[in-house]
This record gives sequence, structure tokens and C-alpha cells, in this order.
Amino acid sequence: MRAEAGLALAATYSAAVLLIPAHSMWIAAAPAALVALAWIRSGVGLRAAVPRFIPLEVLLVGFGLAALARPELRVPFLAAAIKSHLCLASVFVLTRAYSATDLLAAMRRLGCPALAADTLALMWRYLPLMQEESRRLQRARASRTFVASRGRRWRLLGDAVALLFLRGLARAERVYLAMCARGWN
Amino acid sequence: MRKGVELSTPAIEVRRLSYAYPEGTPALDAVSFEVAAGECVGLLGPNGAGKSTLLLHLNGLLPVRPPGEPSVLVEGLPLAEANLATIRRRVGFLFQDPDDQLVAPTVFDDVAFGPVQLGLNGAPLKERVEACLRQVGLEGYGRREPSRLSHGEKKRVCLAGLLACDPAVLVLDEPTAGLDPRGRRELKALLNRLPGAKVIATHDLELAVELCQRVLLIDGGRIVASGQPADLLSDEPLMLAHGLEKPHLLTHRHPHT
Repeated sequence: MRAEAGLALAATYSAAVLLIPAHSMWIAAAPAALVALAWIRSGVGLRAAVPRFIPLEVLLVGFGLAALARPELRVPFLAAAIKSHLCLASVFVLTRAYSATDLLAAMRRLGCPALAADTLALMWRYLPLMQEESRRLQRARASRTFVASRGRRWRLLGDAVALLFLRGLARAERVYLAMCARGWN
Repeated sequence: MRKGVELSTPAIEVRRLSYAYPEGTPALDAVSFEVAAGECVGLLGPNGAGKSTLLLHLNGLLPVRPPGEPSVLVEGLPLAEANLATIRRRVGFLFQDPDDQLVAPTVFDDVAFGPVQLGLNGAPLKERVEACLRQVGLEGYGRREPSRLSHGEKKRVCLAGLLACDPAVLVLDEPTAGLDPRGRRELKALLNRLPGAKVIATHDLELAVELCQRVLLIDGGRIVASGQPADLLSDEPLMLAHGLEKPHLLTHRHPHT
């Protein structure tokens, strides 16, 4: 299947899931079965998906706590939790089925706004570099960290994140200049 | 060469270019030089001498500060807002870190980045990208992701991206930095094959001797000496006074050189 078809299918799936009324979530059993089938066919283990789901779970914890305190929020919370998990699962399966470059090209062909496609392309290009930079930073810090108390470790982590942010800014400036040098406007 | 440009017109002309960073630190002080069409000029100097700042001016990437008469001309065209697009097309800039320059998710898309800005698409775009990849020895690399290439390959993809815009001048900032000896040798051979004028800022003095017809020694934002590489770089006191040293190539002549 071409990446365009995969994208269109995932978008339709997500739209259909989002349209399910909050009081009739039993309907979600069908899309859940569909995405489970696709997941099994993709052959991806659950462990690989955990890092992708963590940010969602963090968001849901806040909502969940609010729902505990206010009973009228329980149904919307349950619906939001089910829908967001199904949508994320469909996106996860999609990204395992097609390479990022194929998906980006398909997005452009389907008429996705250039700014959105360019931003995603730049993210895809520079995230591994940021990861590598972060690894180098951590390694360099670790090599000179002799007393590793918990507080000190957190402080070092904070410093590393700040440094990474500053280096990211400096790189963004250089990338912008390099793009301008090749006629980008 | 751009249409209507006379043969005697220098590819690059820099007239008394001065520049200070926004916080007031002076970076360039009345720098003047010319680069003839097809000439290869090396820009040497210690760290912080102003080499990269000077190169950024050749592509119009820094504002003229203090504002005044245009001090950079590319093929006779003064560097001004109205000419910026033409000048950036005529001057290809190779950045020191290829990861700053490779912005697209695939090699093909990156080489196509410049030509797409120029309105090229479809079969002509594909042909041009493939021709440029062939020129740098990376035929068949189109679908590769830049993050999976070696440092040397990344540099060559960057060069292909510049060549795709058909520049008259190549401005190269430390082209051999971070390359292993084989990568350096291959890149030198490639640069030697490329047509057009070149301005190369480098600490690789052997590259300057092998590739450049003329070198400029810059220190403290000023050009302190210029001449043929073998003559200038053999002047040991001058080299040491400006944080450089006589290259090995000029000290010992090996039988294989």
C-alpha cells in the first residue's frame, strides 16, 4: 500500500474514533480490534511502543486526578483516554509500516501545508542529532562526576537540559543561515 | 559566469569591508581583495581571525555594519538587498559542520533544496540532482538519510547541493575539518576537479598549498599578507607570528610527492 493510502486510512480511522459519542464508548471495540490486528501484523513488540505512550500517560494522569475529584468528568475522561490511546496506536502502527521520509513525501503530495511539512521534516532530521548531542553531554558529565548524590544528579540533568537548549538555539541559527545561503526565503 | 559579465570582471571583489559584532566587538577592519574568475584563493589565519565572518559576508549572510557603500561585489553585482537572491545563487557556501547544512530528510531532497527554490521541478530537477550526485561520487545515494552518512559523505552531499544551484564561486569554510586522511584526500581531489572560483578558509595548510593559487593571511580582522602559497607558507617567522606553522609538505619533500 502506498504511503498516501496509509496516511489517508490513519486519518480516517482517527476521525472516526474521535466522532464516537462519549456515552457510547462500547462502539470503540470495533476500531480497537482493527488497530490491534494491524499492530499484531506489524510484528512490533509492546516494549518498543512504551516510550511513545509515556507523554500521553503523563497528560492523562492530570485529567484522571481531576476526574476522581469530580464525578461528572469520569465519562469524558474515560472517552478521552480510550480515543487518545486508539489514535496514538494507529499513528504508531503507521510509522512502523512506512519510513518517515515516505510519510513526509506523502504528506506533501496530499497537499499538507508546506510550513507544517517542512517543520516535521526538520524535526525528523535534527532529533537524532539532538539525541546524540545529549548522549555526548551526559557522557562528558559522567566522566567528571565523582560524587553522585541524587540531588546532584538532578541538578546536573537540569544543567544538561539547559545546555542542550542553548546548543539547539545556536544550531538553529546556523541551520537558518545555511538555508538562506541556498536561497530559502 | 552570469550573462553579461565581462571576462575581466572579478568573481569576488571586496572593498574595505569592515564589520563589528552587535555587541561592538570589531571582527573585520577594512578588508580588501579580489578573486578572479576560476581562481582558487585560500584564507588562512588563527582561530578568531575573522575568516568565517568574512566568508559569511561573501554570501550576504551578515548585515553590513556600519551601513554604507556596498563593500562586496559578486561578478560585478553589489551586495544589496535587491541582489541578494542572485548573489546567493552565484555564491555556493559550504558550512564547516555538514549537519548545519543538510536540512532535508533524504539526500535527494537536500540536493534539490536549492534548485526547488529556483523553481525547478519534475524531470529536470531529478536530472540535475542525479548529475550533481554523480559529480561528487555519490550516485545512487538519493534515498539515503543524511544522519546515516559518514562525515565525508555528508560533506560531499553538501557540495552536491551547492553545485545544483550552478554557482560561479564556491565559498568553503574549513572543508576538510573532521575528515580522516582518506576523506581529506578524496575531498581535495573533488575540489580540484570542480570548476569556478573558490575561496577556502582553512587550517589545513597542505590543502592550501595543493589547491590554491593564492593565499591571504588574515589576523585580527585584517589581511596581513598575501602571496603564492609556497612562498607565503615557507616564511616561518610570519607563520609563527600569526598562530600558524610551516606545513610539513614544504619542510620535507618525500619521494612520493
